[in-house]
Amino acid sequence: MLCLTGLPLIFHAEIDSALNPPAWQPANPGGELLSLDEIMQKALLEAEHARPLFMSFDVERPVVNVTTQADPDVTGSQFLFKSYDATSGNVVPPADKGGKVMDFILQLHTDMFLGLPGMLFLGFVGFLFVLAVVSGVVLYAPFMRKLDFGTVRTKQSTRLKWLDYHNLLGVVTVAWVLVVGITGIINTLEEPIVETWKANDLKDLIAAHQTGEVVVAQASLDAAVKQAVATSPDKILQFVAFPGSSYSTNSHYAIFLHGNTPLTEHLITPVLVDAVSGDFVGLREMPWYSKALSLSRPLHFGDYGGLFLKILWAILDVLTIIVLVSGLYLWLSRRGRKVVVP
Amino acid sequence: MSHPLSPKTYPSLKRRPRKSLFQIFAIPLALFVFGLFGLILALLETGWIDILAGLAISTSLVAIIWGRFIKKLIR
Repeated sequence: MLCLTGLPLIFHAEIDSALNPPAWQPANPGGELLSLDEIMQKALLEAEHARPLFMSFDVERPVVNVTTQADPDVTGSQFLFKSYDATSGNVVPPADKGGKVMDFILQLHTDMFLGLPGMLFLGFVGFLFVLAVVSGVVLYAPFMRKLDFGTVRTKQSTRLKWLDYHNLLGVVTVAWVLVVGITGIINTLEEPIVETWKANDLKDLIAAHQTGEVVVAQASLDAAVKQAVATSPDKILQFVAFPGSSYSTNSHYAIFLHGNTPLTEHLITPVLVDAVSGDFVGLREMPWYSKALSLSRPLHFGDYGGLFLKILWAILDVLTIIVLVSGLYLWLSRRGRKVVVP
Repeated sequence: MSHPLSPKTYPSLKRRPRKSLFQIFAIPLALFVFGLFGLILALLETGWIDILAGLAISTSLVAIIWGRFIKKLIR
């Protein structure tokens, strides 16, 4: 099941963009981008009394997303999410979410619609799968004692032919299967890991600099971001949390940076900059367990090395399906034999 | 009782010499190293290195075709 649903997920990005052709174009393609402060100003003009919470950025288009809270004094008041064209400041209409099929497959693949228990269950299945692969490698030795690598005895029996195919395809895909299997298991721990990071490291950083009242941000956002990026070479801006939001203190911009290669893309460093004075306050690197999770994501999905790698991923996935099905066949036919020959 | 599929039940194989563990696992081990190398290399660098990494991973596929078909033709 995991192999079958994983197959289309390899090409997630391609299928999504084929289903939802980009309808929106920036007003001045390639033109100069507005500063973050200008966009923030626009966003706040449109919503009086609103308080900015988050600012995030689209990866493939010059779009800045701003989340505000309509009435900050009323708890539970409405959140507003708006996207702005960074070349003009115009509002960008919300994108059509047509990728329902892919979302369905992704959820089936990660938790079978059962939330965290489903995820952990699939993690356990992954663990058994890895054990099965290891036992398969151990069993490879007695079966191959007298055979050359790659031998497939096609002329004796169907069962023997499939046994040989099972061994051949299984043993050549071991590296890939183990990497995808083990990183898949780590991925099922995503929620607990992210929660632990938020509850410990992020909370520590925030608690160490927490102040009383929520301040009104005055310092230049652009200067703050520039300062944050300067502290961490090879990192780029991911999103900004404003004073009073759940990812920041009451008086700082929390500027979240992430790496600029597939390896470091999910490694996040929060940097605190004083929202009134604009001074750099502190930063915190991710702990090792969050790093392990971040590295596991690309290695599991195979979306980090271009189309060639994705095609290889698909082929290896199909080979793994053949190994699984032939293994099942070998096991079932063995039981059948026992009945015939008691 | 021996396993129904153990090599013992196939007398035709008895004439062949038994292989050592190293002989059995030499090719699979090489493929494992190549595969792992490729998977990690692609993660470290982007650009043309990805192609090289892909080729390293492809050794597994080449091994299937070689072991199953080409080796026979050469003999």
